[in-house]
Amino acid sequence: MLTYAPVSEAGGVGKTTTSATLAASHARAGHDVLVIDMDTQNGSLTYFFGPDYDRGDPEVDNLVRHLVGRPKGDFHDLTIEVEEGIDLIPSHNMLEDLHEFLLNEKDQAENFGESYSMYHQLHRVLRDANVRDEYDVIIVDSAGKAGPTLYNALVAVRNVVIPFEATAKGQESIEGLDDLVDGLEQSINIDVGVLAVVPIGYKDTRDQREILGELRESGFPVPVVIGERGSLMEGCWRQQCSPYTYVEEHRDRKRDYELETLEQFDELARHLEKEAGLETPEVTA
Amino acid sequence: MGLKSGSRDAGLDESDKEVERPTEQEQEVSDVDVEKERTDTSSDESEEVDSESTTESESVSQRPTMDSLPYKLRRDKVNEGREQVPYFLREEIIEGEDELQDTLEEMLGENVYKSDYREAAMVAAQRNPELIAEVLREWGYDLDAV
Repeated sequence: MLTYAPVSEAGGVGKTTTSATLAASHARAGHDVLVIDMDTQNGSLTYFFGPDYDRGDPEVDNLVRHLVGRPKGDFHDLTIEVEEGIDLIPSHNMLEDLHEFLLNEKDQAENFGESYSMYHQLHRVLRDANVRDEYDVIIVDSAGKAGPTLYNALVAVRNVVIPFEATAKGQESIEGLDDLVDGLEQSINIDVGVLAVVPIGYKDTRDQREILGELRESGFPVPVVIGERGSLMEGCWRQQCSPYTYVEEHRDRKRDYELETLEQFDELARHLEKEAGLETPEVTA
Repeated sequence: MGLKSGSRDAGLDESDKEVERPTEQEQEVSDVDVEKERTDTSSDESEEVDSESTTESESVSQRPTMDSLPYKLRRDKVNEGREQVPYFLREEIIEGEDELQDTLEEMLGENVYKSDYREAAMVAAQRNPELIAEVLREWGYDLDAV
């Protein structure tokens, strides 16, 4: 099973579009994909795929209820199929208060002399739901900032993919992530692996070339480098679909460089699948 | 150094409680994963002799036992065998830790974990109580001493 969270401390590097595009690529290769949106900002995956869903309704069963052990229904009923082969668990406004909810649970457990780990709840929910029987790939799109949401995501998936802007800001964000993961390892003893660092919006200036060189020397896997694809991604947001669907259905003519971008995302998805030892099923297109 | 390359198993493939299963996937495992004990150390890459690889070849007659290895080398995780205790520190002390870490890393020539230097500080304290007493006096202990 392939499980990962795209993470980036810097905002606006395309964390959400990366998640959506990779999810689509895994699905098109024949894998069953579960995408979990834990990002409470507007402009998250839930908006991107645009299912008909009210994230503000506290009455409706949602992931947070499951995380704090008060589900209103079955885990599998939380999912919405947004594209063929992609199930989405949408974001919910209750996530904004997740920290408080988890602290309450922890206090409660301690009153009864039980131990409780605030950061293992998503892992518990996924394990109890036997996700392995249904999905090959799980992608969790979480908050960019350290906190219980991101920690729950990392403990559940253990692997990260880092969308990266080849600038000084981008470099700083990798250092920040490094500290974050360090803190996580020290406090709850889990080990997090980097599956790939993905430069996005690469323009091949001298500065960027230098930063990319340093990145490659750092020993992290950099399977693909993706150029500036603003209009493609904007189109996806407008149409609320993955870039693959957008190019097939909404572009009146195929643009070579955009097809190349899709191929690169495919290459990246295959790299991630291989890292996790997933067999690529035969796809009859 | 927190971020490391390579794939980790999230343990969602097992139904029961977290089982630490050695993943024996027949794929090219990226050689970054030194922590995992792998017995095929016959690779002839000239990798630096890494203190982490504890797999000695069978031909060595006197193999060290686990217990005789230093703590850093025999543990699988940073905090193995450690209990978490709350530690209350003032802000300027916490800020000073970064500098201490840099200094130590320079002296030792490798990355040093926070958990390690904190515990080592306690060990140093236990070996040198007079140094601790000195600091405590700065804080106002022992004021009626001559």
